[in-house]
Order: sequence, then C-alpha cells, then structure tokens
Amino acid sequence: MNLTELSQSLDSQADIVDDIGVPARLGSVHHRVRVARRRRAAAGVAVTAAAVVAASTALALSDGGRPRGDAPITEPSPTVISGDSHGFASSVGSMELLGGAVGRPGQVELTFETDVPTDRVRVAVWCFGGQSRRATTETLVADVENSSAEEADGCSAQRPEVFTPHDAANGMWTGGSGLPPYVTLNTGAGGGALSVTSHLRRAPQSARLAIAVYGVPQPEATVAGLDVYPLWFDGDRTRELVAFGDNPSGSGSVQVEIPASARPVEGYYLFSLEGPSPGGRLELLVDGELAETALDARRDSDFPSQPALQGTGSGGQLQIELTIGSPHVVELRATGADPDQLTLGLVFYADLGEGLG
Amino acid sequence: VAAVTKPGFDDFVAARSGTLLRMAYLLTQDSQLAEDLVQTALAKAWFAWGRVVGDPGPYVRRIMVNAYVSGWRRRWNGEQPTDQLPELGYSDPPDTTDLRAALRRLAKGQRAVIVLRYFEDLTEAETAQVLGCSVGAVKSQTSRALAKLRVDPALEATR
Repeated sequence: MNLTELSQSLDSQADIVDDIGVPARLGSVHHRVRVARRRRAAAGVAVTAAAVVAASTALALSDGGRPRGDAPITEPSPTVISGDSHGFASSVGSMELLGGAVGRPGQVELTFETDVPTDRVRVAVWCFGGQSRRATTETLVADVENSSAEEADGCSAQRPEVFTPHDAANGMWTGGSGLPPYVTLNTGAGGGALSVTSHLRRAPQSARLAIAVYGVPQPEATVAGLDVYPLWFDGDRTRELVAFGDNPSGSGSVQVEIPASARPVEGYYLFSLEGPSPGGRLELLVDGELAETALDARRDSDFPSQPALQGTGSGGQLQIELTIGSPHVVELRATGADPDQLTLGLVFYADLGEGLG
Repeated sequence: VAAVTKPGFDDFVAARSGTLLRMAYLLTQDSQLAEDLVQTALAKAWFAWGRVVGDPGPYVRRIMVNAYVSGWRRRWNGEQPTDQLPELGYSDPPDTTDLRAALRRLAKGQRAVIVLRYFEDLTEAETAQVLGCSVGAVKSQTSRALAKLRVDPALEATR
C-alpha cells in the first residue's frame, strides 16, 4: 500500500462512521455547555462583582510586549525585562524568557502580546494572591496561524519568589487538569505575533494573574517520541543532557554509550509497547552486567517526561549508580515483546545542582 | 488574501462537524467514541468561540486531536477487570477493512499523525502545530507508524 492508497483507504474507512446527525449533535453539545456553565456559575457568582471592581489595570513587564485589554493602565510599564528582578525566571532549562505581564489584584482578564522569534514558545499563566481550589484560568493563545485554549484549576496564596514555568523538556503538553495553580501551553507558533489572554474565574478579589512567554529552541533530539533538550529543569534541579538513544525500528533493544562525566549522571528509560505482551519484561544492562530485571513496564506518571506521542508507554528513572569519571555503556532491552510494536529510549543527564542553573 | 468571516457556532457545527466526526472515527476507531470526542471538542470550543480569530476549524481540530492523544476519557485508565461481561449494546462493524485492523494496532500518537498527514493532508509542520510538538517528533512518529503499517499482517494481502 503506497501513500496514495493509504489516503484513499482512510477516506473510505471514514465513510463508515455512524453519524447521529447535526441536530442531535448540536443538542448534545449545547447540553454539555449548559452543564458546564451551571457548574461554573454555581461556584463563581462572586466573579462578576470582581470583574466590575477589578477589570481595571494591567502592569506589563516587557521590552517587546504590549499590554492590552479593556482596563486602563495606571502603573508605568517598565521598558526592560530583567528576568528575575521582575519575578520571571530569565531562563528555564533551555528556554529563554521573551516577555511577560502581571495583572492587578482582582483583574480577571489579562492580555499580553509580543513578537516571538522562535518556532516554539511556552506560555505560562499563573494565578496567585488568593488561595482557591475552585478558581480557574482559561487561557487563549493566538499566534499568526492558529489559536489554542487551555484551562487550569486553582490559585495559590502567595506570589512565587520567582515565576518559573514548566520546562519544555518536562513534557510536550503539560496543560490541563492536575497542574494547579497555573497552566502551561505549548503553542506551535512559527515565529511572529503572539497574543495571550487569560480569564480568571471563581477566584478571590485579591487574586492576580501573571503571564510569561518563553522561547523554546529546537530539541537536541527526539528519543522514543520525546523531545530532549540540552538543559532540563525539573522544578528543583537543572540537568545537562549527556547521552541518549532509541531502538532502531524492529529492534528490541537500545544501547547508549555515556562519556566520562565529572558530575553525577542519572538515566531515564522510555518505553511504549502496543498490543499484548504476556510475560514481556524490560531489562537493563550496565557495562554488560544485568542491573535491573524488573523495570516497571506499566504506565505510570512518575516519570517527568512522559513521551506525549505514546499512548501506552511511560518510563522512569533508572535506579543505577554510574561511577563518576568513568565511561559506561547502558543497554535497555525488552524480552517477550514484539520488537515491531516496541519503542525504547534511554536518556542520560548530568546533575548541575539545585536551582535554575 | 480574502478575510475569513468566522461562522456562528451552530453554523459551524452544521457545516463542519461531519468532517470532524470522520476524522474522530479514524482516531478512535469507534463510532460512539468518535461522537463523544467531537462533542467534547465542540463544547470546549464553545467557551472560547468569541475569542477565536479567523477560521475556527483548525482550532477545533487542535482541541480534538489533543483531547484524543491525551486521553480525554480518563476513566478508562481506572477500569478494573470483571468476571461478568457487560450487556452488549451498539457495536461497530467488525474489522472488515484491513487498514482498520492495522490502525487499531498503532499507538495513539502514531494514529494521530497518520490521520493528520494522510487523511487531513496536513504538512509535517501543520501536524506538529496541531499536536503541539516538534516537526522532528512528527517525522519520527510518522516513520515508525508507516513502518508498522508496512509489516502489519492485516495489510499483507494488499502488498
């Protein structure tokens, strides 16, 4: 089957879908919307008052950003972002700060616009100043070609000492539920104008919004579907990429040579296995010796960089100690699994210590 | 370049939801799940409708694909095995097509790139934008997916 036949077959297959029809679908969608609105309204009556009182001002902190919105700006906007001095981390892992804005207390809509030079950006939105689990931020990012939106729940009490977004190396799409008190969007902006508008709901009047836009460089490589970058900040420590590899198509193992490092090196494994694999196991060999015979091959959420393009895989940190100052060879292999259904990856980082590096 | 006039939400659903459903079916391989996925995406888009710039189609498509890849039905992860089979309700037709069986064996992300690239005819860059990943990731996933399809036994007879 060539690619033309593949397209034709997909088209034919799509024709067999059972279509309930537009009227029924439209009714169901509006029902879902009504349910969602009732949920929001039930907990968010106070937001309307907050909007009237506080749809007032924005404090923009950008050299290229343009604050915008219905609210007049009553505070002068600094003309130069100096990263940490205004509360935004100037670099996080391999990402560089492009600009940001902080709203006033009670300001329920904040817009930040800027030009982005990179193909990829990470947009981070925080809510702080009024602790609330019920608060939600709904953020719309519009770039030159497209738009995307995301919601997040929760608002923290204190302003963070430093606004630090999730690193791009920390997953390819980390928005959505479970990540209060902020949302991080990863747009596919190809450079050009970018507009970010965040709406705050069900939050105390003291709550504030903050938006930051970070430029994301091209990844160093893509390993088992995961983009890896030269630096990775996991929220606590910064790490430097030292070695990586994934299994060749049809192969049930991956082997990586790790050069001698003066710093501690830690490894992570990635896997994705489609279809049944009764008795299938992952094994790890360090310098030819079997190191682990029962790596967790179940899907879990502990690994900080789950390959977003894999539906059934996951991974984890390798519980091995690699001698500092010596090169090593690490091999990950799967037994009892069809190599054609298998994706394996190994990634190794040197620990650069606590903080943003 | 002619300006694109954004349709009303209901008009958009009337005109475009059928196309979205076809795509959702290729992603989910199940009519009911496809309908649920489309409605999930449309309901989410409704709340941002007033702020979407230009043609909402790519925006809704992006919501839908990302919802699919990220597993919008999280309850599935918590399903427990049972000794009693549930009553059978509506079911899709059996795998009457070779490609359908082969697509079922692809990972979600791989199925998504195949559908976006060869059903929606998106470029690698456009596919990367929809999925929120790099072009490199799309290339590697496409390559792996095509490699799997080439050797899939269900497509053996077509070679």
